[in-house]
Amino acid sequence: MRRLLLIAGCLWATSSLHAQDYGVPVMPLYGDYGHASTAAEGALDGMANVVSAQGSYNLQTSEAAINMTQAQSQEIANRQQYANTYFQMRSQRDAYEAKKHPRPTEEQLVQLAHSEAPKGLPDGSFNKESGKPNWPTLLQYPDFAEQRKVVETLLPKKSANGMLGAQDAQQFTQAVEQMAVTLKRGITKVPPQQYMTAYNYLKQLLYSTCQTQLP
Amino acid sequence: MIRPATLFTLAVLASLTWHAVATAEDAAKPSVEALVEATASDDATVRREAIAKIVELKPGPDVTIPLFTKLLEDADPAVRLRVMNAIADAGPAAVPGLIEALKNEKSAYWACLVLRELGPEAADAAPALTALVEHGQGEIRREALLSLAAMPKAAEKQMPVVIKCLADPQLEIAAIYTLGRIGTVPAEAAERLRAHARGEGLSSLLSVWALARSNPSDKELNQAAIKRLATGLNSKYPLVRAMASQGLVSLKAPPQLLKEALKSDLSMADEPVVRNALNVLASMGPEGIEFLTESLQHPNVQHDAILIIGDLGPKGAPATEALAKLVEADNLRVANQAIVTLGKIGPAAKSAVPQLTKSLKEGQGSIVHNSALALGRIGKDAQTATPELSQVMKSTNDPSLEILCAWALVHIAGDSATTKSDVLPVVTAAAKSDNPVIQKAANELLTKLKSSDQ
Repeated sequence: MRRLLLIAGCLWATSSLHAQDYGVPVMPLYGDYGHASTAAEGALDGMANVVSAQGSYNLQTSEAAINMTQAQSQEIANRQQYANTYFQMRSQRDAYEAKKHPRPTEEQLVQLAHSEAPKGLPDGSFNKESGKPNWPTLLQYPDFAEQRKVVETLLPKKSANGMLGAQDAQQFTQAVEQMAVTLKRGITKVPPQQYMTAYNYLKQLLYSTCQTQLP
Repeated sequence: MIRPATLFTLAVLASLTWHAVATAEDAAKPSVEALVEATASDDATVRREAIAKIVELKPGPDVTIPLFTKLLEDADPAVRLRVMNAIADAGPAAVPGLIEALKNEKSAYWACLVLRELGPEAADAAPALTALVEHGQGEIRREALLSLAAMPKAAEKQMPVVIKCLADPQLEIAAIYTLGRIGTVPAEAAERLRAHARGEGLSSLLSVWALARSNPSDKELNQAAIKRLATGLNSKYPLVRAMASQGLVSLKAPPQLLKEALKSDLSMADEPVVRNALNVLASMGPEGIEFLTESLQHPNVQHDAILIIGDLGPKGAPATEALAKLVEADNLRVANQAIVTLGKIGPAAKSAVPQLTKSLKEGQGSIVHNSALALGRIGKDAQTATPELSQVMKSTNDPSLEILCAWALVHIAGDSATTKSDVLPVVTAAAKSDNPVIQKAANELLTKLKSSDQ
């Protein structure tokens, strides 16, 4: 099966970049070994992103940078961050396009199960004043605090840019996945209705933010 | 918090767009004009929304390209990102506008990124990019050079400028990369690259790579480059690891050579190393299965590794045991993907039937659907799962799961009279479904059942 995958790079892109924090730009990962030329071309583009990141790092740490103002230095970092985000968005779009191919009927039946599930979050899922999620009761427990913080940090980026870059999307996905794991581990200790409310909230939150589906 | 004035403007934009869509084509023009006007709003939220609506309306390149290239100057990053995406989607039609944008200090950097994305399609921009490499400021010069590299044939014509950049500390790495991307290293540059290659760090790694790319028939040089790049995968520097990983894929390194170079046990390696190795493994095909199986030990890369194994189809069989364990993982997305991949492996994944049967009975959401699908794809060797499939088929209220179980039963034991009598009423009813997918699946099954009768 021809599939173009996309994964985030080795390290997270940081929202406020300093020279030592430079994230590795996203790398397109090609699972289709039968199309080595496509994989090789994707890798060449990925190398350009690394060269760009290294160049910005060098510029910020060069001798000339000694006379740079904090604002100028931050501008270089910000440009690099948005450049990374732009290429991540383009890779995600390419991955989405590559998935558009006819599926066998039996796979379409599985997709049918997904398509019948609610995708968006219902009204009242976010606080109108703060824009933060109105977490279901179970997800308000301290066990979920760390992941809640990640989600609440990334949601404004999605809101501003229209979508998350691949690295942010991966971080968001991992946070929501971890919440689902914690939830599942406590499944026998909580009322089933509350479990399903919390799980469905996570499912819809992940889909509406990253178009990624939990089962 | 959103200001009331912003909310009002957004509401007006929404109604304008609705009006444009709901009325005749001629009536859409004033709406586009209003949206264009809104792109000059003082409020970034309004500008973002206006751009999104213009993209949605597709008024044509005559309207969008001049507008969007001007908007590349916008200080709001979200506005810029939307504009850049829209320009890149326009393809070669956007190139003249982007050449204009290269002349403006505020938009040049962003125009370079879009031109890099367009690659050879944007070759007309090569002279303007070269001028920027020579006379631009700061990192704009580097981005212009990288954009030039993305159009290798056009870049080759600018070789003297590229070689000159090798002597500039801020452009040297980008110049080495450009030479490698072009695939030609002139004699006057080759000596410099060979000297770099003897050193360490990113410029050394890139020089090795560029020399190999420019001498594809020199097997010894290419093998040495692959070994060197593979060593880079274990570097403590993330950028070196990333470069090594991409460099290996770009050189289309033969699997055997990669296996020798990647001899470390990935289950023992650090996660960032495994992430970069996965990129290489994805290009190796079945030869990489041993390493892919090892990488399943790392929770944060499991999902990606499973997807790559899934692409191998039946050749992913050696990973069956490891995948079967993941069917019971607490991470439901990982468990679900493991099930899907076992189905792609097919009959060779027969040892996973007990785990798949359990997930069919106890799974959550689409895990149940995918378990039925995987069991059906394993086929005759999933015989022990037929009672559970039959039970789920009869008890579920979900029509897609019902027909999936029927599909699985037919593929496991379609010749059996018991299966036929179980399945036939379900399939016959599904053939009358209003849902086209269910109806299609039912008709395909009826055809299969009839052919097995003959």
